Amino acid sequence: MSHSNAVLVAIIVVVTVGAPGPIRGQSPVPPLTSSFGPDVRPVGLGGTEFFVAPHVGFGGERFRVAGEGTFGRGVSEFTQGKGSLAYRLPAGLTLDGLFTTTHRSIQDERAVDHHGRLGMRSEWVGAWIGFARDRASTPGFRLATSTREYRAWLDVGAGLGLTLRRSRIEEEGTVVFDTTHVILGEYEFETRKESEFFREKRYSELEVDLRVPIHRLSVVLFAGHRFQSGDAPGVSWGFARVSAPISSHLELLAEFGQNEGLPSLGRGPARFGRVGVRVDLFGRGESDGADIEGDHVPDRSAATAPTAPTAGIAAGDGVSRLVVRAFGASHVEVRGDFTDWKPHAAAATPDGGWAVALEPGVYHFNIRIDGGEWTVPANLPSIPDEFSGSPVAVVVVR
Amino acid sequence: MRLPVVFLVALISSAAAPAGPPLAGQERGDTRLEQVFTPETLAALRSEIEKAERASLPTEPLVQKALEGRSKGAPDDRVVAAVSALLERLETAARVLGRDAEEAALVAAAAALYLGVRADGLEAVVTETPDEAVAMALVVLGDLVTRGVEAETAHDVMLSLGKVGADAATLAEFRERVEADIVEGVAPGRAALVRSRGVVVTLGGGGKPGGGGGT
Repeated sequence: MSHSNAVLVAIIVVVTVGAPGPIRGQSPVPPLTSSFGPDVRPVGLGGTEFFVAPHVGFGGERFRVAGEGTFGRGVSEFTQGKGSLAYRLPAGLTLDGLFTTTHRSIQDERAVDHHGRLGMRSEWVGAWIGFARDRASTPGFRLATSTREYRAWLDVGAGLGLTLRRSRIEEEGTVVFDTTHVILGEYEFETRKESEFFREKRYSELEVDLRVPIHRLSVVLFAGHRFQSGDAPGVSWGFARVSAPISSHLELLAEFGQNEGLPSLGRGPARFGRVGVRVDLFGRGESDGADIEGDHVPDRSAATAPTAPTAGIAAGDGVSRLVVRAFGASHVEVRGDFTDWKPHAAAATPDGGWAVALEPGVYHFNIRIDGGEWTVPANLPSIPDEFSGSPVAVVVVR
Repeated sequence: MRLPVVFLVALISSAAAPAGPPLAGQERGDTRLEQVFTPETLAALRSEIEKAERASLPTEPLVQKALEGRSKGAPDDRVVAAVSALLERLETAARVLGRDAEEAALVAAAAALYLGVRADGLEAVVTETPDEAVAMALVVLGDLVTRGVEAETAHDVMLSLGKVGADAATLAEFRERVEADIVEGVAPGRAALVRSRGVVVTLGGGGKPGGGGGT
């Protein structure tokens, strides 16, 4: 393909308009949220292509639904419809689903894809079943695949996420694709073995996904390599993706890399780059449902990333305990009204927390992680002290 | 639904956690203060503590304030000033809450006063709030002010929550949601009003909390 090594540059502008006050979480009164807006993507792909993607979503306490249409015209023609839903069930379960249908034509190639997924998940465990039906045609070559995928994941949380995922793709009754993912903590390892590819090649792929939260930046590094049989050269691909929230209304996005191409159509890897800004007029609120797209693996960058420590009161055996949770900590100290403001080493709990037993009362305190600065848990009330203005956490033990 | 799961795990697993005996008030105040303050400073601190004893106010918060100042390297005169100021706030809190108020409620009320909540505002909130939730209500009140909610709005919101009988757990959850909204970019006063309205409606009050506008 003439554009196989072309640089693809896209500029994304997403304007989201929502009901005033994007209230996150489960409010006693469902604050319906809605959003709509264009997603405009001028693209250079050996030519020019423009995408417009109007989307609409709304939801409430227990459900979100979203729909999006994407229309691209230029060196290719692209039309995609996407619908998603999420419904919160009792016991922390969420039922969610995604359906996408895509029509694309580039010169003499035409492809029609239908994908759907339906799953159930909680914060720690989930599973989904998916299907795909793809048809692609180019002069002299026609490909049709039917795919079923089943995935389940378990995240033990507290900084150690473990996901086992297996995908199988069948083509007309023959297994041609068997993938196993092992995701440990922030690192994802994938081994993919395809017993027989569409052109009767045999190869294996290795993909590594590293997610690195750096302060407010979210950085994703992804790399893959295909080891092919015979004299065929190996193929590498990968990308780096950075997103930086500027404020609750603005987020900068940048992504560049090289994709793996479409070997089924004989297309080699292509470099791409994309920069953009996300604009949300009323501040970033709850997702309109687009977040359920993907592989239903919990967002480990949010769930287990080295974020600010938190704390809470847990009760058991008639004793209340202040439990501090700090990702990756090897040593946690507390000082406060209950230690005569002397550093006191918190005891490690079996689930990765750090605990101090407390009698009923109102306490002011600070915590220190691995000998660093004295600070406060991010989720507790805090007030500035009279001495230096530094924050002191406040906790009520009943 | 993340928090409940985490909290449940915390409850189960930390029940057997080797956290040691409950901590609070390790030794007599004098002994602890003697170890870290000069005789002159100690005399000034003792004077404040004796005033508290004569007024039947808790003395441990004063001792802890002094120890906090020492722990943070504050000069002695500043430590004494902080203890004196806390004593004044405890006296005010006791007038509002009553001399028989629990120490926890007095400490929380003193903190709210430190953050700029008016004494008459405290009194109304305490009057309307269920007894078991008074300390939490005062902590939340102070936290709202700290996070940028105007004192008057914070007071009105807490008053409305007290009137519908919001318990300590509800107040703690309310505070967390307001905090989350503020982090998401919602104006503090507006977040407090919207969230409190939800609690009020849920608990059956149905009224519109507060009369003031958001920030």
